[in-house]
Amino acid sequence: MRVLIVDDENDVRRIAKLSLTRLGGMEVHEAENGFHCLESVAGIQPDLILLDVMMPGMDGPSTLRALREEPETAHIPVIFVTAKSQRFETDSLCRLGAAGVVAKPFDPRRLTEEILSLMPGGTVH
Amino acid sequence: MILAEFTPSARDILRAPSLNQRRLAQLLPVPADIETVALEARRSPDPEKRLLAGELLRLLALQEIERRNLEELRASSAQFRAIVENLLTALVTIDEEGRIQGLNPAAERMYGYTRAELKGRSVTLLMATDSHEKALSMLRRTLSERKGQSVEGQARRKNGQLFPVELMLFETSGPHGRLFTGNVRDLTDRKAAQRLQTDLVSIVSHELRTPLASIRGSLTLIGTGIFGEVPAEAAELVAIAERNCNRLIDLVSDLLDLERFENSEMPLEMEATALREVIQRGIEGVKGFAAQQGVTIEVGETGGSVWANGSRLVQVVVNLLSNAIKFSPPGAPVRILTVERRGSCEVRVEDKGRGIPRQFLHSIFERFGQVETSDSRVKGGTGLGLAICKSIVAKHLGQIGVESEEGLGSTFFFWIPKKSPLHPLGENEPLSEPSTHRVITQ
Repeated sequence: MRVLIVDDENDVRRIAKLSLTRLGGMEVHEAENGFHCLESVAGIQPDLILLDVMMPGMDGPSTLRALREEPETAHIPVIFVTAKSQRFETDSLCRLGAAGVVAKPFDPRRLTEEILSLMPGGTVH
Repeated sequence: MILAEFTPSARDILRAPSLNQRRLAQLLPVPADIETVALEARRSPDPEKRLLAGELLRLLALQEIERRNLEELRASSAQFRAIVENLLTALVTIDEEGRIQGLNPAAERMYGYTRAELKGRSVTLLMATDSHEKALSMLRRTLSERKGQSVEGQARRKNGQLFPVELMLFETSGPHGRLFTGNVRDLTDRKAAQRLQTDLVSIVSHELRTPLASIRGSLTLIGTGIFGEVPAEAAELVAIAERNCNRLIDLVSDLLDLERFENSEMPLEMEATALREVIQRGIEGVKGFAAQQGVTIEVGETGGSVWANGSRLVQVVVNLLSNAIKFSPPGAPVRILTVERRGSCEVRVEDKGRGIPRQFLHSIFERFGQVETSDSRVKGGTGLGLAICKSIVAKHLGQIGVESEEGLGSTFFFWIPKKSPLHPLGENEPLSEPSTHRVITQ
């Protein structure tokens, strides 16, 4: 499974990457913001995008909208990663078309399990 | 004539046929020596002259009293005027038609108008609305429904700028009819400070949580052994670092929660919520901790439905259960049950722990109000749990409290209404009067 992690925090990306590669056996790519994600996503063709919500420049929701507008990327499942984990906040993120929300700070031991359970149909592509 | 021996004004006084006229006469100038003349006349052998002199002296005494009263009134009026003129709070007085009759210097400064500019003008000049009728109806509604209470609204300065105000209206009556005075406070600075505080909490919590999360994530990954086996002593240090990191993350989360509940004007999302489910979820949340402490959780009667935010109620139940478990000796039971009342439901968490000394019964619901300052280090927890519970219960229009006997145990309880406050009120009965061992927070 190929995952693109988009987060402006280098440390968060690093920990998520180590968790998903070492414990989940996934192939992980990184982007440090929304613009970088949109530039690289076509070349990577990920099975899943883990998208931070609050990022400078282009935030998570704007990035998701841009992804949905392009036929090449419209189908890619997106899971938001956010510290804003109240129900009304997660509900509004899901209404934007996200497959789910992972609360920050996440437990690296459980990250793989968590994102797999949120994937459409609960299956790995 | 005997009267001819007195001065002309004294004659006027004595000739006045009615009390009112006499009083008017008292205001006429009286020669300085009239009292001496009258005193001498009282010693006269002529009884009529003595009588008139006595009457004159009585009137002079009355006149003196009146003069002193008038002086006091003038002094008091000047004092009152000085207070009003120097108040920091703005006062605006209008008549029944909504025309401005007066304002103090604080109001002139707040709105940017002078008294002369506003005298007789419509009060709408100072309000967010342009409609005189709307303004009048709003003020009348405030006066009939919220008389003597403060309400918040928007006001307008001379330069057109709208600004938030707190207003309290009260009625006075004057010689020209009913008048209404608005006691107005500019909330611009207070609102700005609130926004700053919210932003600050949000920024600080983000700035603290992000690095803490990275530290914890790194430690957790090292602990999994994915980079090779960690030597036992190193693993112990990693565990210590992880545990303390968790404590800091919990503290930041709790502080953020408290700020959110206490300062946010955003209401919680409420719905009819079954307490049985809330309690089940709460027990799930502490099951592991109870097993670790060797404490059993007994569940009594749990029923009833309340108007609540389920997740937040679970947070309260988890907090109360965790505390009960934390302070129970191994092998002791912790019991949870609900009591249904006419308009509310009560949740009770009973333990057989060390109990709480009476002097701490109130303070334990305050921030960091633990019985022992070392409790947060020895027993864990941030010292904010009960303060958060209190805030959450208050958001539900309920109350939280405790009954405790030192050495025997404690029962923490909270109750919240069964129905939304939009339903007719009056059904939510209060709990019994608190005994010396029972404290219900306000």
